[in-house]
Amino acid sequence: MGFEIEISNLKKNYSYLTAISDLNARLEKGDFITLFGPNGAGKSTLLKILSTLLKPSEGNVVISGHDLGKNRNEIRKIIGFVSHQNMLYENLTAFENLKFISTFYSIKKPDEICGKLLQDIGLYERRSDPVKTFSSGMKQRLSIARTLINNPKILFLDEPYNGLDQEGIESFSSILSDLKSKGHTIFLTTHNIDEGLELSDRLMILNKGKLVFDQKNIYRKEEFKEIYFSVLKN
Amino acid sequence: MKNILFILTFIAMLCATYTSLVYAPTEVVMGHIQRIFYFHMGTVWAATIAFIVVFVASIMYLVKEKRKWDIIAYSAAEIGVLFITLTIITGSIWAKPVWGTWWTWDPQLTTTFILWVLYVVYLLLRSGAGKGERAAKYSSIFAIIAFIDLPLVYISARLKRGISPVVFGPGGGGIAPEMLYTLLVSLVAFTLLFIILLKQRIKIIKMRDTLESLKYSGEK
Amino acid sequence: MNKIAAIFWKDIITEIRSKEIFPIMLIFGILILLIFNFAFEFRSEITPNAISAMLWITFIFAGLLSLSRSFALEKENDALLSLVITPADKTYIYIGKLLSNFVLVFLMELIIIPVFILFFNLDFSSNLLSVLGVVALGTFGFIAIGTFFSSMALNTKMKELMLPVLTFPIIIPVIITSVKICSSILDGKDFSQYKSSLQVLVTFDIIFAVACAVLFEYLIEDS
Repeated sequence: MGFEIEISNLKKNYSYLTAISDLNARLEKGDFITLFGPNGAGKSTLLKILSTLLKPSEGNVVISGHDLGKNRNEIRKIIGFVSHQNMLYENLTAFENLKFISTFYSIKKPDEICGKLLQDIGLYERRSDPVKTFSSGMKQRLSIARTLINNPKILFLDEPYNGLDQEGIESFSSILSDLKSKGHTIFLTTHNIDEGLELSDRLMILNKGKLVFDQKNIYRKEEFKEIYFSVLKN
Repeated sequence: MKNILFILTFIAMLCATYTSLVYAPTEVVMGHIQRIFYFHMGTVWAATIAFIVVFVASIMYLVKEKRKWDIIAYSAAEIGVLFITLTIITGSIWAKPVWGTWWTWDPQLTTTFILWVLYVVYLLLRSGAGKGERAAKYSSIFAIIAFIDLPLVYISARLKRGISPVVFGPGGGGIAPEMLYTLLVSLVAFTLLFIILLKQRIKIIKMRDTLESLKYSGEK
Repeated sequence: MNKIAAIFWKDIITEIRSKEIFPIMLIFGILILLIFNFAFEFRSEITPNAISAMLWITFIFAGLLSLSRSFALEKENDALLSLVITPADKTYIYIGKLLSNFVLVFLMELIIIPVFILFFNLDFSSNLLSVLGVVALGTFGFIAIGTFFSSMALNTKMKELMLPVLTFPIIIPVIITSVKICSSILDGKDFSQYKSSLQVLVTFDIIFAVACAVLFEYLIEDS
C-alpha cells in the first residue's frame, strides 16, 4: 500500500555537525504522528526538511507521491507548516493576514475561505483587530488557520505548544483533534511528553539525529514516560 | 607532477625577473622605473584570472551545491585579493615618478580600487555569514553580482572622467619586441604562480575540512 | 501580478499603521543635511557637483535605514517563512518589496529636496522635474541592490552592520552616474549633453533589477 510520507536514508549535516543521520520511516495517511525528543535532537531540522524548507544532505523523501528533490512546489501545495514562531504580520489584522497569504496560493474566493477559517478557530469576532493585540494562544490559533488556507493534506507542526498557557494548549489541542477527525495527516514535534500523547496514533523518538523509537501508540502516559527516559539514556 | 609545476613556476619567475630587469631595454622617457610594469601587469593578469575563477566557481556552486566549488571560489578570491593589492602597490610605485602622484581617480584606477573593495567585502561576508552552506551560498551570490558590477563601475567612471592615458596595449604605439617578450614571460610566470597558489590553498582548506570533521566525530 | 501587489500593499499598510520607518528615515535625512550645512560655510558658492553629491549622500544613508528595517519586519515572527513555503514564485516577493521600498524612499526624497533647497538657498525651479526624474531612476537602482542585500545581511552575524558594506561598493556605478547627471542638470546643461549618461543609468537599473530578481530565489530558499 502507498504511504503518505516515505523517508529513505535521510541525512543532514550542518558543515561538520550531523543533525540527522540515516533516518528511515514510512508514515501512513491520516495518522497523527508525534515526534518526541530533547532539544537539539534534530526534530526541527527533520520537520524543515519534510516541509521543503531545507534540503537534505543525502537521501530522499517522497510525500504523497511527489519527490522532494524534484517536485518541491507540488509538495508545497498540499502541506502546511506551523512552528512556535507564529509567522504572522503583527500590524495586519487577523483577516488581512489570512487574505495576504491566500494570494500566494492563488485561492479563489479568498474572502469566503478566510471568513470560514476564522469562524472555525473562534476568532471571527476579532477579525478586524491587528494581530499585535492578540494573546499568544490566539496568535497560535490564527497561525493554524493561516496554514489551513490551502486545505493541506499534511500538516507539520514544530513545537506548536511552546509559549502557550494552559488555556491556549487546550483550545489548540481541540483544534488539532478536529483536524485529525477531518482526515488530515498530522506530524507534530515536541520536547514535552505531556503534550500530544492522547491524540497520537504513532509515537517516535529522535535522539542525537537518530530515530530510536517508532511504535503505534498503545501506551498510557506513565508507560511512555518510562520508555522515553530509558530510550534517551542509551 | 606536483613538483614539475613547482620547478616550472620557479624557472618562469627567474626568467621573468631576468627579462624584466636585464633583458628588456630601458624605456626612453620613463627610465628604469618602467620595468616594474612587467610585474604590475603580471599581478593584474593573475588577479583577473582569479576573479574569473571566483565568478565561474560561484555559479557552479549555486547550480551544483557541491563543497568543491565553494572551496575553489574561496581560495581564488583570497589569492585574487592578494594579487590586486600587489597591483595597486606596484602601480602606485610606478605612478609616483611618472605621473607625479601616487594615485589618481581615472577609470582604470577607480575600477581597480572598487575591485579590491568588492573582494575584500566578499571575504568579510564569508566570515560574517557563519559556517557551512549559508556562507557558501551568500558569498557565491555576492561574487556573481560583484562580477557583473565591475564593467558597470568602469563605464560609469569613464563617464565621470576623461579617458586615462594608455601606457601599453594597442593604443600605446609601437613597443620594442623585447618589451613584448618580457611581458609575455611575466604573464606566463604569474599564471603559473596563480595556479600553484590556488592548488595549495585548496589543499589547505580540504585538510582543514578533514580535520574539523574528525574533531566533530571525535566529540560524539 | 496580484502577488506583487499583495506584498506592496502589505508593506505600505504596515508602515501607515506602525509609522515605524518613515519618520525616522526622514529625520535622519534632515539631520544629515543639517550637518552638511554646518560643515560647509560657503553658503554663496556651492558648485552643482557638490549639491548633487550632498543630495545623494543624504538619500543613501537615510535610505539604508529604511532598507534594513524592511526585512527585519519580515523576520519578526519568522513571517517570511510563511511566504517561502508557498508554491508561488519567490521573485514576486523581491519585486513587491523592491517597489514598496522604492516608494518609501522616494517619498522621503521628495520631502528632503525642498528642505535642501531651503537650507542652502538654492533655486531649482527651472529644472526641478528633471532632477526628480533622475533621482527616481538612481533611487531605483540603489533600492534594487539594497532590497536584495538587506535580506542577505539579516541572516549574517553582523546583521544591519553588514548591509552598507555589501551595498555601497555595488551601487557605486549608479551613484556616480546619478550624481553626474544631476550636476549636469543643475549646471544648466542641455538635455543632449547628458542623454547618453541617462541611457547608461537606465541600463544599470535594468541590469541590477534583473540580476537580483534571478538570484533572489537562491538567496531566500534553504536558509
